[in-house]
This record gives sequence, C-alpha cells and structure tokens, in this order.
Amino acid sequence: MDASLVDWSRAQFALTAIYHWLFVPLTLGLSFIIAFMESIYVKTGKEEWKRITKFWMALFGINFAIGVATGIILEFEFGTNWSNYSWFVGDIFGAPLAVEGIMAFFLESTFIAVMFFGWNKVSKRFHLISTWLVAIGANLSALWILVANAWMQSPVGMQFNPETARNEMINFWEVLFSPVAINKFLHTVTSGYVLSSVFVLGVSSWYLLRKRHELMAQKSIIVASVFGLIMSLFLVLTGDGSARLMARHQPMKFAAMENLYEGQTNAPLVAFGILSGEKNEHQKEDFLMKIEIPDFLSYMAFLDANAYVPGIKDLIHGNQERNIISAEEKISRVNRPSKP
Amino acid sequence: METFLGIDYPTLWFLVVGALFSGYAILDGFDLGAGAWHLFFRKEESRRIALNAIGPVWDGNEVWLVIGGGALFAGFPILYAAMFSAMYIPFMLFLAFLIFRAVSIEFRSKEPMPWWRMLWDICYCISSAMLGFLLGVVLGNILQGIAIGPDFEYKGSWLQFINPYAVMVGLTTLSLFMVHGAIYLAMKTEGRLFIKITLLLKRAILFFVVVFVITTILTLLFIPHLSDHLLSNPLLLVIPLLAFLSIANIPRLVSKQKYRYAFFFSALTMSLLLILVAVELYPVLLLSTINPAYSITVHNSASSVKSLKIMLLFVLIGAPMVGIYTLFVYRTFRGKVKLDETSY
Repeated sequence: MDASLVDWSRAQFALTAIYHWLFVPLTLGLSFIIAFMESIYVKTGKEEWKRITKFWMALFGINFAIGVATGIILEFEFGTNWSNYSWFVGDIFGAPLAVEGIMAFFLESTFIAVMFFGWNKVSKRFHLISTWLVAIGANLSALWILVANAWMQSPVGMQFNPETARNEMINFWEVLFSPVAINKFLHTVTSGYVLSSVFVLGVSSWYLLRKRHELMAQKSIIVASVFGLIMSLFLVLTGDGSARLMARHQPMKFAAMENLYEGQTNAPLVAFGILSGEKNEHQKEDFLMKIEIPDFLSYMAFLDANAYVPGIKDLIHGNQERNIISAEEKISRVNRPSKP
Repeated sequence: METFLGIDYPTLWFLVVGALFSGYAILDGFDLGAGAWHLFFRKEESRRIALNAIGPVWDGNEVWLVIGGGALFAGFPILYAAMFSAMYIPFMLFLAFLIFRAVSIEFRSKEPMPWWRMLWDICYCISSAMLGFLLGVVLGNILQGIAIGPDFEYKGSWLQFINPYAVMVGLTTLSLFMVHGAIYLAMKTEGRLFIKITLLLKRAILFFVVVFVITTILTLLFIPHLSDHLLSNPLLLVIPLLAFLSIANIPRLVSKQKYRYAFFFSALTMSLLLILVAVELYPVLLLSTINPAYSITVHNSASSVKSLKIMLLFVLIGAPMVGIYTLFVYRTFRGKVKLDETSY
C-alpha cells in the first residue's frame, strides 16, 4: 500500500482526535461544576446563582456540540480509515462503544435538552435533576470509551482466532474491570475536573481584572477552587498509579517516555533534561544535559529503589540475565502457524 | 448455532441495529427535513421559529446515529470495515455536512448582522438537505450491492457510489424527510408561517409520491433480486402493502389537519420502508456485485456470540430506559414554539 496514504489517514485521524479532545475533557468537569452551582441556586433560591449557572452552561453547550460532532467522525473513521483494525478488534473494541451509547450517551444528550431549553417548562427540582443526569451521563460515557481505550493498551479477556484472523471476546468483565481501564477512567475524569476548574478560574479571574461581572466571577471562583483543589489530590494519586501500571504492562512505552536506553537498577529520574537532537548508531538520542534524582525512577515505577527498570535496549534485544525476551522472539511467538 | 427465543444471536443484533437506524431516520429525519425547508422561509422571525422548533432535540436525535454506528461496529465489525471503506467519499461528505450543520445552528444566533445570519442560514439549509440526500445515496448503494471481492475487500472505484439509481433513492429519502419535517413544523408553528408550511407540505407530498413511484419501478425493473423474497413468500407482501397504505394516509390526514397523526404515519412509513429493505436483503447485509458468494451476510460478519450476548443484555436493560426518558423529554417540549431568552 502507498505509504503516503497511511500517513494521510493518520494525519486525518490525529486531527479529529485532537479536536475531539480539546473540547470533551472540559465537559467532563464543567458539567459537575454547573450541577454544583445549580444545586446552590435551588437550595438558596438566589437568582444570581441561576445567572451564574446559565453563564457556564452556555460555554458547556458549545463544547458539548463540538464534542458530539467530532465524536461521530472519530467513530466513523475507525471504519473509513482503519477498516482492518475494525475487522481485527471489532468483537471486543466495539462492545464498550455500543454499550456507551445505550447506557450513557443517550442519557446525557436527552437531558441536555431539558437543561438548556427547559428552564421555563419544568420545575426547578426537575431541572436540577436533569443537570445532574447530564453530568453523570457525560462521565459514564467517558468510562465506556476509556474501557475501549484501555483494552488497546492492555488487551485482556480475549483470544486470537487464527481461523477468522480476529480477536474474540472471552470475558467481558475482565475487559471492563481491567486495572488499566479503571485507572485510565479515574485519571482521565480527574484530569477533566482539574482542567474545568482551571478554566472557570481563568475566565473568572479575567473578569475580575477587567472589573466586569465581579460578583459572578467571585462566586464561580469559590466553587471551582474547592472542586479543583480536592480533585487535584486525586489526580496526583491516579497519575502515579497510571505510570506504575504502564511500567508493568507497557515497559517499552515507559522506557521511551523516560528515554531510558540501558536498563538499570536504582534508576534515576531525569527531572530536567535537554536532548541532543542527534541519534547515535543505536538510534539513541543522548541528553545534552540533565538533572537527575537518584533511585527515584525505580522507586516510582516499582516502589523499590533497588528495582530493575528495563531499558529500550533490553526490550528490543532481550536480556537473559533479567529474563527479558527480545522483540523478535515475542513476534515469533505471536505468529503461530495459521490453518490453511 | 445458539439461539434465544428461536432466533440466532446475529439476527437478534441485526434487529437491534435495524431498530436503531429506523429510530435515527424517524428522529433526525424530521430535523434534517425541517432544515432543508429553511431557505423557503423569508422572514427572520419565521427562520428563528423553524430553527427553535428543532432546537432542543436535534442534538439528541443525532446521537442515534452515533449509537447506530456503534452497534453496527460492535455487532458486525466486518461489515463496518468493508462498507465504511467502500463508501469513504459519501461518508466523509456526510461528516463534513454534519459539522457545518452543527456549527451553523450554534453560530447563527451569536451575532445580529444580516449577512452573518444569511451565511449560516444557507449553510444550515444546504447541509441539512445534503445529509438526507447522502443517507439515501448510501442506502441506494446497499440496495443494489457494491463491488466486494473475496476477503470482503472493496474492488470498485471511488466514484462508483454516485449512480442514477442511488441518486433516485437519495431524492426519495430527501423528499420523505422533507414531508416528515414539514409535518413536524406544522405541529410547532402558528399564524402565517403555519399556513405557508401547510402549502409547502402539500407540494412536498406530491413530489415524494412521484419520486417514490419512479424509484419503485426502477427497483422492480433493474434490481430483480430485491423482489425475490416477496415473490417466494407472498405473506411478506403485507409489508409493502402496509407501506403504501401508510403513505396514502399522510395526505388524507394532512387535509384533515390532523398533523400529529400524519407525523405518526410518516414515521411509520419510514420504519415500514426500512423493514421492507431488511426483509429483502436478509440474511445478506451487503450484496457483492462481483459474485454473490462474496456477499457480506448477517452470519459471516457477526461478532462472537459471547460478545453479542453481553451487548444484548445491556440493550435489554438500557432500551426501555431510553424509551421512557426520550418520550418524557419530547412531552416536555410539546406544543407551539414560543421564542424566549433560551432560544437560538
């Protein structure tokens, strides 16, 4: 196949994914922030909270609409651009996508109508319930999509069927409750919460500086900073867990992320570094300069300062001493003779 | 093969996907149809009312497509891979119009300048009409079959999707959507706009009947495989008969000004026509024009039974909930459109 065709397909998919992910994370947290604000309005009955809620709701709306539009495109591109991929994994990858639609996305998109256009048509309490359902729906959507994504990172609950050249599902619950999926979900939503808090804080601060809508800005800052502060603590925890899972499930990704070429015990963490920009004969790019924290990478990855962190070289060429098999051997193990 | 209620799992999932796509056609059908009428309305206020008639629901209606697509992907990954790859150009055009339409609706009301609103009005109207038309074009290609080789790979050229028959099915779909959309707008409007819509509606029904009859004749003459099942099993003739009765009922109810019933029958027409398509094709999903043996069927493209079972479980739990709250939200927004501060 023409290599440039693949590159164009990748570029198109990447562009869609980037656009999708510019808007969607904001809706994850903004929906909860709006729900908190409206809860305060219903509790206190103060009109200013209604105004504040509506203001952030408008910003949520734009993000949601573009999120849906780009989401449809992403989904279609699995078929149009990566049809062999769809063939290969559809049995497992498709299931969480379909379940997402039925269990979460419908909920979110139906109640969004009440949330935006129902102010004068339904009771205050019912409107509040709708807003909460939108927030819950948005976050449940994220759960199912991230289950699908986590399965791509760490394929579990499946078996390759050489007769059909497809991966087939063996255990759905294993796919759903895989540790990578749970961590990915928690890390992504908490990132979304922190992002939304910072977004609200940023816009509000700008209003304060400009001395416009000051009351609204102050009140929004209170809600967003409390929410953001609490969630940033969870974010640290889930982020740490995420990297530790990666060190175990995807050692190559981990090694590449840390630019760790030679595996070592007591591996240091490069806290700051500048790459030379040139590759040596092993395709390795050296640091021009770096500041290291001794033992820290080993500790962060395996909670043990003496642990061995495999490097890129070990993973490609194998390391008998450490019982790491080479990439070549791994591939030959996967390529079982297929039936005629 | 394992069955449930006497029906095998791939067929059950075929019914789920069919139900989702007819749900999509009925729901997004009326808002796409309403959008295709947009430029027929001259006054700014009329356009705002027409836009706000679909305002609260268009986004939710579009979600049916996401879910239909997801269900197709999960249940028939091989069909998804082959069809989307073969229909690359119409799907990409479809997606582009989908974006333009969403952006038009969101942007139009953000600025008051006449040129700004005119720009988005044109964009909105054309993209709504093209979406309906392209859906029909894809359906037309599915009806006549496409050039699928062995291994389910597309062997045709990239422009093959556009052919006279597909264009006729496209026009039929668009005109049915416009009838459906006009009935919806008639339910939602009053005064002079309402009178204008009822006049347009009558012309649209006439136009639809003409294209529908031509398409039907073309189908019977040139695509004989689409009437095989009906001829071999005369009991199935009930479906086209019901579809014709349902279509005939629309102008009758419109002239009696019973728009809610007319809306029900235009929705019913869409489901019946889709059921007719499903009955004619089953168990084939995508016929190969190269060799019928290469066709993609419900059984050779389905996911594993395990996967289908899990998803059916979720559908059994989820579908009644979806039905209840969708009806509930539509009830909330019933009645004529009144512009207020939450409007577009």
